[in-house]
Amino acid sequence: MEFLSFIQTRQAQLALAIWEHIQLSVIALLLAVVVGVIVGILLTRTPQIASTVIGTASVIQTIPSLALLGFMIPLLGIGMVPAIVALFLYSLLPILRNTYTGIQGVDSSLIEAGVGMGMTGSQVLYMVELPLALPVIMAGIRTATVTIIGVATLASLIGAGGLGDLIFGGIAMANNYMIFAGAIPAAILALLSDALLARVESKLTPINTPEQGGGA
Amino acid sequence: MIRFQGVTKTFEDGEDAVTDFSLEITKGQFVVLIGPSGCGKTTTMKMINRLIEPTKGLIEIDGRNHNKIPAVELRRQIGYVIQQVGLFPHMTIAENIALVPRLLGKEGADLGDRVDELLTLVNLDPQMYRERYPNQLSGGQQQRVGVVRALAADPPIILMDEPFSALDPITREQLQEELVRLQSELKKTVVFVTHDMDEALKLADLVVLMKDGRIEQTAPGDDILREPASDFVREFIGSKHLAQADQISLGDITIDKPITIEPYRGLAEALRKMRRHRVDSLLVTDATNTLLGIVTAKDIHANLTEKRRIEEVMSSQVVKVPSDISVPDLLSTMQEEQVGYLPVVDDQNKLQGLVTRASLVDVIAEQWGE
Repeated sequence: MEFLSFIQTRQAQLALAIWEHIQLSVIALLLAVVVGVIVGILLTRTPQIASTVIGTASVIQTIPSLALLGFMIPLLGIGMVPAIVALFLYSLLPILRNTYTGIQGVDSSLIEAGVGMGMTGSQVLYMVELPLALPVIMAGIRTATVTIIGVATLASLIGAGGLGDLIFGGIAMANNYMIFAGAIPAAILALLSDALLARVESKLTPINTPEQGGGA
Repeated sequence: MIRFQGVTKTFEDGEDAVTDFSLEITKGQFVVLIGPSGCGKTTTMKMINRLIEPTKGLIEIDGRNHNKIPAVELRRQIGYVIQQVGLFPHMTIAENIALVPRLLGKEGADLGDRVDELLTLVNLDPQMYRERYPNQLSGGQQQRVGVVRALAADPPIILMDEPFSALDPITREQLQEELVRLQSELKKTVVFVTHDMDEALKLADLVVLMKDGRIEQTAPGDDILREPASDFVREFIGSKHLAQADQISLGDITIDKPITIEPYRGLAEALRKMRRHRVDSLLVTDATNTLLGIVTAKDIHANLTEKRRIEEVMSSQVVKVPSDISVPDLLSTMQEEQVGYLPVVDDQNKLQGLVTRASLVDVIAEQWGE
């Protein structure tokens, strides 16, 4: 009960932290989706450089998240912008890689059928490749989302705000309620967005998308 | 309709897939390109809708150089059916069928009617299948949809790339028969690629047999069977088909040297000759081999007591056939005249041979035994 009254007294601070957290995550995620999907598509058109680009993204991914945030300070200073850039870079790989592999995985006979029926290059992309790669791309976006929401708690350390403020503040003051007040909403955010994206994914995927691409 | 003029396709590795290919396909013709794998048949077909561009030569469609027609526009006017069916798994059957009309900018209720009409054409109940997804259909049903999808925009030309080869034999045969029926109604210009000679013979107006990128023979299926242009063609067709086509000729069933007797011989001598050769009748010929008549054992027995000659007892009313008669005509003559043997004569009535029931049986037995 003491926890609830703690929350009540810190209502405004908590709401702000949640709002900042969502802002950080959503902006970084949107950027990552736009860049990741576009670059992923472009890579399927230039497979000779695909492994280099995806390799670079993997290297960024292997940098510890805290270190990546730290790198941003000399480059971009502190605050929301460097945090968003770091989150964006960190979540790029799953989206990029899944877009690339998702489209590469589309049965080549379907592409041949599309081209042979008179689809233009972009029609093949919108009508065949993207819809069929969508489940794989969505899986990448979900992974990226959960990662971003988690790593965004660290963004507090470079002055970007968010739920990390409460967690680190709680740690510094040895206040467990404050830690919970930051950690629990962060966890709920991650779970909710994952569930939401799962719904979106199944909505966008026809029930009957088969494993096999036709044939006998 | 479609004209290939000295078309050559050289791939990047420098190898010629198709060399100096020339062919004229007329409107409504069902042309089958056939040959062993790597013979260039698929490459040839894909050059028609510019999935592959020729390196050299000219392809004309309705008199227009097909290079001058934008590839996308060209392909929308040419139906395309592939071996892997290629139905889009994220679209319903109706959406799949309506795709090319939609690419051409057609929308609305008409399109729905067209889909139903096409499904009915291949015996799929529109009510039942329209809203289904491809993977809810059997392989045979999927390819039926694949075929009508190619027909949806009513293109004058249809290309089919081994469309039935992934199906089981029974389904394949059903679809071949449906295609024959469809073609007799729709009269499209079809270019069909296969490696299956049975299929080619069943479907084709014109068979184009290819080897190493070149045409070995272009002819209606029956003519290819009858007169293979080369040893390769003969080998490719296979002995099974050759035996079928190898119709029994008159020569096969004719006894070249029937037992004859001269008209001035005596009856006893005739009887001895019959006994020796184990026959019940003799053809009567003169020194120039002209057929004069026939004498049977019965004729001789009836007259044996008298000293007479063959020409006195023979019957000169012989049922005979000319040497250029066809086997079916010969058989029906045999049937109608109720005779067990038919002498074959040339136009000067000179005896060429004899067909008997026994010689027929021998030949037929031989054919079956193969």
